[in-house]
Amino acid sequence: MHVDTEDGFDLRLTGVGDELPIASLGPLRIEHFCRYMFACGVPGPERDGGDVHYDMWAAARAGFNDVFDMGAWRTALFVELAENQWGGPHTRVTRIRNRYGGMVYRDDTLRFCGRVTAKETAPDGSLVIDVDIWNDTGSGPPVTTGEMTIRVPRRAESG
Amino acid sequence: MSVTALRETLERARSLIDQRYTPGESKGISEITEFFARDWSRGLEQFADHYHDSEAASALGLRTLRVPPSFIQLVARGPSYDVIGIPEELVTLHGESEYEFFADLEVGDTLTAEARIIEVTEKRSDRLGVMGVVVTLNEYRNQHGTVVATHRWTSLMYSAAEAISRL
Repeated sequence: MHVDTEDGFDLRLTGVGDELPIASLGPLRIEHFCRYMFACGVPGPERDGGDVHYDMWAAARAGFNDVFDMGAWRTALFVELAENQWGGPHTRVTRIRNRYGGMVYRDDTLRFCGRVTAKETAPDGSLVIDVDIWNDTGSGPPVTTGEMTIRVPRRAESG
Repeated sequence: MSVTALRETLERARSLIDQRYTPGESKGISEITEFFARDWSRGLEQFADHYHDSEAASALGLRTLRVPPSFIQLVARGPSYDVIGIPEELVTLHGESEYEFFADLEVGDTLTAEARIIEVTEKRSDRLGVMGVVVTLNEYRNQHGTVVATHRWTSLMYSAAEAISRL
């Protein structure tokens, strides 16, 4: 995943209304979907209609033009983005909610975007940051919309 | 016919609301090992050292490799399809997710899950026709009985035949 992180970006210094560095992944290949679906082995992907993510005929039978990505994958990647590229190794996502309103097909490039909506200091000194998040494919409306809460430890604990 | 099958399926789901059950296995993994933790991190395109190298994790003050919170997906199936029973003519999609994470997952943890259906509704989509919406809440505990995460999984289900007729 490529992240447009500016040198010296520090999540702790962001303010309400600030947009966070955009991450992008793509053009997406079936391999991207399969690496996630098959991590830690099967079974799994062939159940719950999972074949629509790697079998274009299964996708067609379900009423779609091509194989497409997984909503849970987008959310899992958002957590990793926030805990690593936006924050640091001690940053934690405590809550994330995503609505998957659009399809992401093979060859699309998926972008991960965020904007700070609230920020406060917890009693333990850590920062609690609320972020509106969305995925898009570079054109058209967002394919995912949601919110997350990120906890960033005090500077001395953040490593 | 398929819309009838959808409505019968939703009726079965409604009859199960708030009944607690042990969700079906996802990948059959309950104990977090270093192998599984690393493999899941690779699946998430996550290659930072503290996800793969114990010494790098230790240098950051972590007790074990960093385990992505989404590892809970490997423990139990998010949607409740196995308890509802989904006819072949229906297609299911993942409509929405909400996770809360209360504690770090660590290598050596053993996770268990309990689930219940909390909401069943019907709506109409211009693209896919009549759709069922089923919300399942999974609760994950570690070996100490501590709730480490919850996951609300919103499933959408619809008739494949009706969706194709709208293409």
